[in-house]
Amino acid sequence: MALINYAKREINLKIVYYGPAFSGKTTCIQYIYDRLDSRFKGKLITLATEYDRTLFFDFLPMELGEIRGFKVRIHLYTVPGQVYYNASRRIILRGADGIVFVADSQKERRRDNIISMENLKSNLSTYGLTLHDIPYVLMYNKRDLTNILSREELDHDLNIDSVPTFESIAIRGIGVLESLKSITKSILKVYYSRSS
Amino acid sequence: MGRFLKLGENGNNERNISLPMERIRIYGERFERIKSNIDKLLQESDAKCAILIDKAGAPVAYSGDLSGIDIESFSALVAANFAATAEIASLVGEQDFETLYHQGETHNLYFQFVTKGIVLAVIFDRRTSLGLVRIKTENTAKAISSIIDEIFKQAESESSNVEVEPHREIPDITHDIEQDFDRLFGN
Repeated sequence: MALINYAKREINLKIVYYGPAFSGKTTCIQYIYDRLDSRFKGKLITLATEYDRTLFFDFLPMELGEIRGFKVRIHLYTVPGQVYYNASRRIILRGADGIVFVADSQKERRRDNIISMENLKSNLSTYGLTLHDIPYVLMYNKRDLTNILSREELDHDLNIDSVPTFESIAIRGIGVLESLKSITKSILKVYYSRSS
Repeated sequence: MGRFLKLGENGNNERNISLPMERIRIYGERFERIKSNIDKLLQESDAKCAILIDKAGAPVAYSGDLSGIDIESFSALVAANFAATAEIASLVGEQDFETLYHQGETHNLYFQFVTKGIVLAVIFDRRTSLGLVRIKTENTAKAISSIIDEIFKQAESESSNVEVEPHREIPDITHDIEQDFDRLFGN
């Protein structure tokens, strides 16, 4: 749910990183935090277990600065990937403006990617939404590993809407900023088109 | 609803998207009314500060002594906290919990559900009491709720009626994003 405050000339956007456990969602947000100029980032909040697994969510506020008189703020969230944390995922999806789905490219994770995508659809449906209602992009992560699925196989499993896809190695930052830029543009396009 | 837009840069990544996504658009006069209600709450309750937070976790309006408070992080955590409590409520068969209270050594937090997932968070200390904060916050929430309802009603009528004042449009900033990201990430 974008908050557009004309009185304060602010636009707030919420982007959620979704995907199966261990796919690299927190790594993405950590990379973005490390790369961001300190003038434009807030505090990175991580609600994790003692084993560094995301328990509730990670949160990173960033400011795009003033563009044509409007201050644009982006709030990045990750969800926990483990199946049993579904209530947390559903909560974090509330009011999301766009989604970056981080898939694990490893062959043995194929089923987990598909289950997570189905879970995303199911959680969106609790808010009366489908994947067609919300901008999203796909990150095919861990492309540096051996024994990975081909891009075509991942497309076949996950990219039913022909959305933008990014082959990534989040731990080295490859594909992370590109996918963030892509989803931000997609969201803003939707809002701009909608108000014109 | 029912309007379709094209997403993506080129033919490879285009899809049609219908847009039932909610958004709040707040204009000057209503924002000032919300703000003055929060100011009044602080005057009457002697609370330290108050922040109105939308369901996505973004601060809508705030007032009072906010020194030392990271407003954005605070808002994100309050929204998630409130949403988690609503889930807990449903697990024990409650419709919802309207309020939440956290007591600290020097600061106390009082959260009041307003409407449409929006929450009013009030921070107060020993200068006042929970009872007074509770009563004043409840009254403020009612007043703000009616303003928010007006905003949503207007949004509904705008979506069925294309006539929107030009100065109220969001500027097309999608083309500026490219260079803005470069600046943000120091490229």
